Formats: sequence, C-alpha cells, structure tokens
Amino acid sequence: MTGLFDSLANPTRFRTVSAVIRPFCFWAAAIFFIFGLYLALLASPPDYQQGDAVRIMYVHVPAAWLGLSSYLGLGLCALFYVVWRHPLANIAARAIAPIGAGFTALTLITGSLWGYPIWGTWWVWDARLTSMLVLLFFFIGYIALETGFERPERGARMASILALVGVLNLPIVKFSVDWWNTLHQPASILRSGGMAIDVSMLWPLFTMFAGFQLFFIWVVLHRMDWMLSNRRRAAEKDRTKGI
Amino acid sequence: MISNFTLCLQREALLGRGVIGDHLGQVAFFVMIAALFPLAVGPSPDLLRQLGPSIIWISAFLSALPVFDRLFAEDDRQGWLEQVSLMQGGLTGYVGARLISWYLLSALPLLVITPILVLLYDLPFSSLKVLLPSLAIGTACLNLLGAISASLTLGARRATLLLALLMLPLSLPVLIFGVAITQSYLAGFSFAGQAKLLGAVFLFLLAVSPVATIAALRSVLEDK
Repeated sequence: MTGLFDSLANPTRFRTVSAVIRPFCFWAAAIFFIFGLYLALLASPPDYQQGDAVRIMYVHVPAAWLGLSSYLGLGLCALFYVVWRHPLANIAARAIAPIGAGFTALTLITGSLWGYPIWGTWWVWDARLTSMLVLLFFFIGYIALETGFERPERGARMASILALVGVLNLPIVKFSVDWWNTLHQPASILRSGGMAIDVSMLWPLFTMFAGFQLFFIWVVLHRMDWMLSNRRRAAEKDRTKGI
Repeated sequence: MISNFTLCLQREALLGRGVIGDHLGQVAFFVMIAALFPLAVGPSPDLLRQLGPSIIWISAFLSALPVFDRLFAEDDRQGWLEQVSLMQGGLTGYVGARLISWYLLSALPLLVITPILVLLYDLPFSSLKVLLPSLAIGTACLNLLGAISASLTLGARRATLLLALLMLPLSLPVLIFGVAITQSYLAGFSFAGQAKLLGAVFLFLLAVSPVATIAALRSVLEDK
C-alpha cells in the first residue's frame, strides 16, 4: 500500500494514471446518472406517505454522503500534508474543497426543497441541519484561509490545521439525528438492526450514489491535473527567466 | 515547563496593566450591542424579557471579535513567540498563560457588567445565578476557539475578517447550549442536560484547542 502511494506521489506518474482513469470515470458516471435518474424518477414507486416528493431523496442522500465523505477526504489530505508535507496532498485538498462545499450546499438546498412539502417549512434549526451548515462553513473557512496569505505554503498549512479541527464536526453530523430528538429522520440505511428502506428504493439510491461518487472522482482528478499543469507552467516560466 | 508557565504568567501580569484600556473598550462595545436590540425590536418588555438571555450571549460573542486578532499578533511582531519557542516546552507554557490572562482581561469585565444588562432587560435577578456561570464557561469556550482562529490567521491578509469567519461557525454549539440553559431556567424547566452539554463542549475544547493552537504557532515560526 505504501509502495502504491509512493509511486503515485510522483506528480508526472500521477498525471499519467489520472489521464487513464478520468475518461472511464466520466462515462461510467454518465451511464449511472442516466440509469439512476430513470430508476429514481420513473421506475421506483412513490412513498406511501410522501408521494412523489420522496424522489428528492435520490439526489439529497447521495449529495449528503458525498459532502461528508469529501470532508473526510479533505481531512485525510490535510493530515498527509501536515505530517509528511507532500505537495500532492495539498493539491488534492484544494481540489476537493470547492466540490465538497458544492455537494454540502446541494444537500442543504435539496433538503430545503424536500422539507417544504413534507415538514411545511424550508428550514428548521434542528441539529442535523445546523451541523450540516457548520460543515459548509468549514469548507468555506478552508478556502478562505487557504487563499488568505501572501505565501501560498503558509496558507496551505494553516488551512490544513483548520481542516483537521473540522473533522471533529463529522461525527456530530452523523449522529446528530440519534443524539438529539430532531425533525430530520434518523438514519435508515447505515444503522444497527438492518436497513429500514425497501429494495425498490434502495437500488435507485445506490445507482445515483455510484454516479455521484464517480462524478466526484472525475472532477477532483481533473482539478488536480489542472493545478499540477499550472504549477509546472509557473515553474518553467521561472526557469526561463533564470530565477 | 511549570517554571516556564509561571514565568509567562508573571510576564502577562506585568503587561496586562497596559492593555486594560483595550478590553474596557470591549466592554463598552458589549453594552452597545445589547443596547441596539431594544431599539431595533421595539421596547415591549415581554419581548425583551424573552430575548434577553440570547441578546446578552450574542453581544458577548460579537464584542470579543474585534480584539481577538491581538491575542498573538503583538507577541509575534515583537519576537517573543520566537524567544519562548526556544525554551523547553516554551510554547505550551506560553499559550496556557496567555489564555488565562486573556480570559481574565476580556471575559471577567463582561461578567461584571452583565447584572446591569439583566436589569435593563427586566430579567429576574435570580436568573443571574444561572446566567453568570453559564456565561463564564461560554466565554471560556469562546476564548479557546479564538485561540485556534487567531493562531491560524496570524499574518493573513484581512486577518480580523478571516478570524470572525472561522470563529463564529465554530462557536455555534456553545451559543446553542449556553442560551438554552438560561431559557430553560426562566421557563421553569430543568437545565441540567444543557449544562452538562456545555460542560462537555468546554472540556472537549480544553483538550483540543491548545494542541491546534500550538501546531499553528509552530507553523508560523517555521516561516521565519
């Protein structure tokens, strides 16, 4: 495992491997999205209580998983950067941050659209919603701190420490529905005592999740490639200037 | 390390007298924010009694923001941070002493003036025995969060703004549990649950904040 990491840590090799993976991720994501949307919007049954409004779930839940797991990814990259000082870890963190913020925002927006017909309100200050909002603030804080210094390396280090502090918010988001009595429903998939969701709804959900996940990998790899090529171009410019 | 800590405490005690003026300004800001609310929401006594605890908490949080960028900035500029980091366990003793003196300078005056605000908002005086301890712990939590934010934004462009951007979202749980304590008390309910949660947040921050702060300060020093 360490050998794999070490060999991928070389930026040129990383770009070669990433160029091979990316088109596969893109097309797989597209296929999963089309198939998942067909399942979610047409082929799956309406909920016995919520009717067709339940279909928002097929976007809301994968977006929430992605928002949380991209923060976990950000935290891991930050740890790699703080401990081993590997520049690629920082580039990965920078690539993830706005995408994770986007998924978190999408979760809040779709949740709000779902909440209006079902709960009768766009927003409540319940523990799950508030902790998810704090997660969005952490993403924004990371981006602001990362770009807030004259010297980029210093911004990267400070933002990484912030990202690590923010990891402590993740269990609060995950367990907020169990620890507090909230309007948001408790977990129905990853919970003890088995899943509380019917198979006819589970398949479209997993298909959409696979689509979201592959899309995320595709975008992050693309952004990393773009940042690496920018860095390389800047380095070449410096060299020709004789600095 | 202990002697280091006491040395830093002595230094704080000597320097503290010089900056009392800054922190009195903070108290004035605290009272001003609290005075703005009745003007904005209207002078209805019932409404103000209901909002009182929340307003006092929000005012305490907001009034801390403009001074927090000075928590480490002066010591960084004068080279004291570098000096103290050369000693064995230096930064640990320094951060501990700095946080204690900062708490005494910035939070204690707010607590002293709070009974007057309780009077202005027509809250029962008995609520002080709940409000003051919870506010004392709440501002301690705020200081611990401020230490992380101030050390992370040290030397940043627009440091004060960034600091507020980092610190306010982090302080949400403190605000939620802290206000709930006084509100439960005023409504005649048990507030033990919220008090325990606030205590848990405090202990948690007490464990995490110095570690993150010292890591950030080390990072700052590496650049020199």
